[in-house]
Amino acid sequence: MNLLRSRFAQAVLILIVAFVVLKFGIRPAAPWSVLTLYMAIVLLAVLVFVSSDSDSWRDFVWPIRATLVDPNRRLARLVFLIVLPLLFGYYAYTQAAAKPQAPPELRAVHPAPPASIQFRGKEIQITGLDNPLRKDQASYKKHVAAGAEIYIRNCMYCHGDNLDGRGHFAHGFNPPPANFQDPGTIAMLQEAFLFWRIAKGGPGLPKESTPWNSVMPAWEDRLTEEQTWQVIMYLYDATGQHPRRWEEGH
Amino acid sequence: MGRGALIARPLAVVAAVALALGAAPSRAAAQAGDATAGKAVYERRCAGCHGEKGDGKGPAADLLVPKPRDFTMGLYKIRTTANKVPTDQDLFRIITDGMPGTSMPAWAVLTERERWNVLAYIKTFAGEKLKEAPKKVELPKDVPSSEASIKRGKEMFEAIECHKCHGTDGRGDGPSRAELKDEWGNPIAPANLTKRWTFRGGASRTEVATRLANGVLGTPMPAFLDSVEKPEDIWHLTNFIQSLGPDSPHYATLVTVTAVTGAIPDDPNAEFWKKLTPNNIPLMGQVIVDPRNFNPAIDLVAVRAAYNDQAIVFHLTWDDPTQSADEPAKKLFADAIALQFPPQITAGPERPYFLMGDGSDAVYLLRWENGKGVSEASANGPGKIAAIAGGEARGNAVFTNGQYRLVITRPLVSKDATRPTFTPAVFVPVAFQAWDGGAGETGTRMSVTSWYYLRLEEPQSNRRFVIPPVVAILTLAAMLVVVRIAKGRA
Amino acid sequence: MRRALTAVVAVALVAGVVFVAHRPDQAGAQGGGTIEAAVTFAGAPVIEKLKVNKDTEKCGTETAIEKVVVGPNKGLAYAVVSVAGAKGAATAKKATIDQHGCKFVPHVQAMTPGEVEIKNSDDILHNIHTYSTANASINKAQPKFKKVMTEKFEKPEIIKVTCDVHSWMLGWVAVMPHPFFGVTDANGATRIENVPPGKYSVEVWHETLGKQTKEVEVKAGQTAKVAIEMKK
Repeated sequence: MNLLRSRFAQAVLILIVAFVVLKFGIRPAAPWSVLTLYMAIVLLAVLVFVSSDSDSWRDFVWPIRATLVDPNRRLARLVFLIVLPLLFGYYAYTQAAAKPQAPPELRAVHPAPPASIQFRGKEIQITGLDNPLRKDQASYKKHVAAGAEIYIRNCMYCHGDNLDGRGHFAHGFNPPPANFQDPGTIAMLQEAFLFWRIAKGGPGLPKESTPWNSVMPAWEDRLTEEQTWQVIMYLYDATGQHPRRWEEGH
Repeated sequence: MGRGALIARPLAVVAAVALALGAAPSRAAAQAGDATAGKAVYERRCAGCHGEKGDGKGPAADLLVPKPRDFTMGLYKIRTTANKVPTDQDLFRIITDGMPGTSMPAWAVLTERERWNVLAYIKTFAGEKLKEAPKKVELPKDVPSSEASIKRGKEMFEAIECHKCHGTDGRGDGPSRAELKDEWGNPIAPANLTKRWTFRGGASRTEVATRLANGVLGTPMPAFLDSVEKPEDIWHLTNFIQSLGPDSPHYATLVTVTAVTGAIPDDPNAEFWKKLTPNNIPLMGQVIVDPRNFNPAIDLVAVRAAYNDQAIVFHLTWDDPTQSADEPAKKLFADAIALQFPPQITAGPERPYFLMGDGSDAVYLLRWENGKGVSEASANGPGKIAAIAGGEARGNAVFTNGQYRLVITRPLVSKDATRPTFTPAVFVPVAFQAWDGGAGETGTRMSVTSWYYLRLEEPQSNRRFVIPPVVAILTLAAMLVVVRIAKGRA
Repeated sequence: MRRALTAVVAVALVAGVVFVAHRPDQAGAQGGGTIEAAVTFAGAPVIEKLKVNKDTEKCGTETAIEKVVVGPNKGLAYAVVSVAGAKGAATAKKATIDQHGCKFVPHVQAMTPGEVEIKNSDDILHNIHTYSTANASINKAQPKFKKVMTEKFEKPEIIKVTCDVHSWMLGWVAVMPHPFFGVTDANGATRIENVPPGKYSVEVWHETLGKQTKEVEVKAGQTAKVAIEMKK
C-alpha cells in the first residue's frame, strides 16, 4: 500500500506543510495566536476534504480505528495511552505554572479631535482647518527646513531620525512613539489632527486614549503656531506621505 | 525504497523552501560609492547632526552626548585596522547597524547603494587624511571562554589597570573617569563593561577583542595589543569582560513581588535578594518639563520585591559612577530614586499622569535620597511635591564600586488615603524616577519611566502540582472509554 | 666681609665664562658657529595646581600643570629654539621620554626624525597618547610591566603627548628636520652649536606663548647671541 494514497497520511501531510509555510513563510513571523487561528482553519478544511464522501471518510478513519481495536497494534495503543495523558498533563502544568503577564493596554489610537482648541489662549478651529503655510508654495522649502530643525531638536529622541518611531527613548515608553513612516498614521489624518496632537500632547488626549500614560509633551508650551505647522510639513515631506483632506460638505 | 523516496522528496523541497525563506541576506561586499549621489542622501539624513560641512556641528549637535562625529578629522572610533584609517567595510557596518548607546541609529532603512554612496561622500570631508591604505589588525589566535581564561582575564584586567577608567567592577566608575576627554576636547565617559549592549562598536567577542587590540580612536581608550603580557591575553580579557554582564538587558513589563512567609532582610547585600530574579526597567530622559534632560545618566534600574503579611519590600539596584550629596555650589546634587504609585489602587484603567501626577490627580512617591534616606510624598506634578507626615517607610542603601543597592520597606496596609494599600493578585500601576546628582541631575533633570505594572503574586499554591495529574488521569480515562466503545462496535 | 665674598664670586664667574668662551670647541674646528639664545618672558609664571585623586604614592597628592615656567631674570624655560631653514644630518642620539612621578620627563624636548624610547618608571599604568598630523597618532597603553616602548616620529612637527589616565600629564616633542635646535633651561638659555655660517632667522616656540623669530648672523668660530622676549 502506498502511504501517500492513504487519506490519513494525506491529511497529516497537508497539516504539516501548512504549518511549515505559516510558521517560516511569513516574514515578520506571525504571533502564535494568529498561527493557531490559521491552523484551526486548515484543520477544518482538511476535515471537510476527508469527509467529502463516505469512502474517503472510511479511508481516513481506518488507521485510527485500527490503532484502537486491532490486536496486532497493541503496542502502538499502549504508547498512545501513555504518551497522550502525559502530554496533556504537561500542558496543564505549563498553564498552571505560567507567570501572569501585564494586562494589555487598550486605547483608541486615533481619537476624534475636538472641534476647536485653545492654543496659547487663542481659539483655533480644528474642524475643516488646513495648514496655512501650504498656501505659500514659494516658501515651501524654507518651512520644511525649519520644520526639520525643530524635529531634530525636539522630536527625534522618541520618534527617531528616520521618523519611524524608533528614537533612542522609544523602547522605554508604552504606548510607543508614533511611526510616521507607517501608512496607518499621518497619511490617514488631516494636518489639523496633527496640530491638535502636537499642541496638546498626551495630557490633551480623551480618556479612551489613556492620557495618563502618553509621554507626548504638550508642545504649545514650546512651539509657536507657525513652528507647529512647519514641523507638520516636515513630517509629510520627509516620509513622502500626503495629509488626508477634509471631505467636502463635512 | 520507492515509498521512502516519495516521502523524502516533498520533505526536501519543504526544507529547502524553509531555509531559503529563513536565511538572512548576506552582507554585501565593499562597493565603490558615488559621492555625488551620496551628497543628497547625506543632506537629507545625516546633516541634522553631523552638519552640512561634516564637522559634527549640525543643529542637533549641542543636545547630544556623545557628540556627532566630526568627519573632517578623518578619525573613526570603530575600526578593524591597525592604523588610523578604517576600512570601507568598517564604516559601512556603523552606518548600517548604528552605534548602541549613542544617537547614531541603524540606517538599514537606506538601500545598500545609498549607504555606499553616503559613505563615499562622508569620506570626502576628510580629504587627504584618509588617503593612507587601511591595514587590518591581526588578532591573536582565538581563545574560547573558560573558567581559566576568565580568571587570567581578570588578572590582566588588574595588571593593566583597566579599573583606572572602567572601575573595579567594570561599571565605568574609575578614578580617571571625570578627567577623560576625547580628541575634540569633549568629556567622554568610559564604557560600563557590565552593560555590553551599550558597547559602541558591538558586543560580540571579536568586536570586543578588536577594541582592546587597537583601541578606540579619538578617545582615551588606548591600544593594548603590544601592551599585554602575551598576545592571547587580549582574548582572556575579552572573555573576562563578557563574563561581567548579560548581552541584553531583558527588560521587564511586569514587576512581580514574591510572596514570603518569614522575615524579609533589609540588608541590600543579603543572599535573599540575589536569589530573586531582577526586573530590569529602562529609564529615559525627562523631556517634557523645563529643564529637560536629553542625556539621562541612569538608564536602568533592576527591581526586586517581596512581601509578607506585614510589609512590602523593594530592592533597587542601579549604576551611578559617583556617590554624591547635595553641594549646589559645585553643581552636585544628592543621588535619588523614587517609586511612584497611584494613591489608591482602583479597578479601572484610569490613573494619574505618569510624570508625578497633575493638578487634579496626585501620585504617591516612595523616595530615597542620599543623605536623607527614605521618605513618602504626595505629588501634583514635578514641581509640587509635599511630604506625607507620619512616614511609615524606612530604607537602607549601600554604594559599592559605582552601584547603589537600596532596600525600602513599607507596611502592606496604609493608614490613610494618601498612600496605597497593596493587595495580592492585583495589578498595581508603578513608575520610577532617578537622579544622578553627580551628573548635575536634580528636580526635573531626571530619568523617568511611564507606568508599568507591579503585582504581588498569590501566596504559593500547589495548584500547579495538583492540576496536571488530574488532567493526565482524566485523559487516560477518556481514551480507555473510546477504546472500549471502538472495540464494542468492531 | 660680604663685599669681599661677592667680589670673589664675581671674579670666579667671569673667569669661568672666559674659560668657556675660549675653550677650543669643535664648532670652530668644523668651521661652524654657535648661537646662544636667551629667551625671556616679562609676565608672571602660569602654574596650575591640582589635587591628585589616584596613584598618590607615585604621583604625590598634589601636582602642577606648568604652562609658563619663568626662572631668574625672566628666563623662560621649555622653549624650543631652532634655526629655521637650516639643513643637516640627523643626530645619532635616540630621544627618550620618561614617565616619572606622573610627569613626562623632559617636559619638552626636540629631536631629529627617528626613534624615541618611551619609558615607564612609575610602576603604574600610563598611556602614551600623541596628537599629531604628519606622523601617525599613537594611543598605546603602557602598563607597569611594560618598562620601555619604542615609537617612531619620522616627520617634522611639534607633537603633543598626553596620558589619559593622568589628565594633567603633558609633554611636547619637537621633531626637527635638522640638528640645529635647543630647548631652554630654567634660566631661559640654550646653545646651538656647529651652525654653518650664514644669515638665519632663529625661531622660538613655546607651548603656551606661541612662536617668534629673530634674525641672526652666524660666523665661523664665533658665538652669536640672540635675545628673544616672548609675549602673550
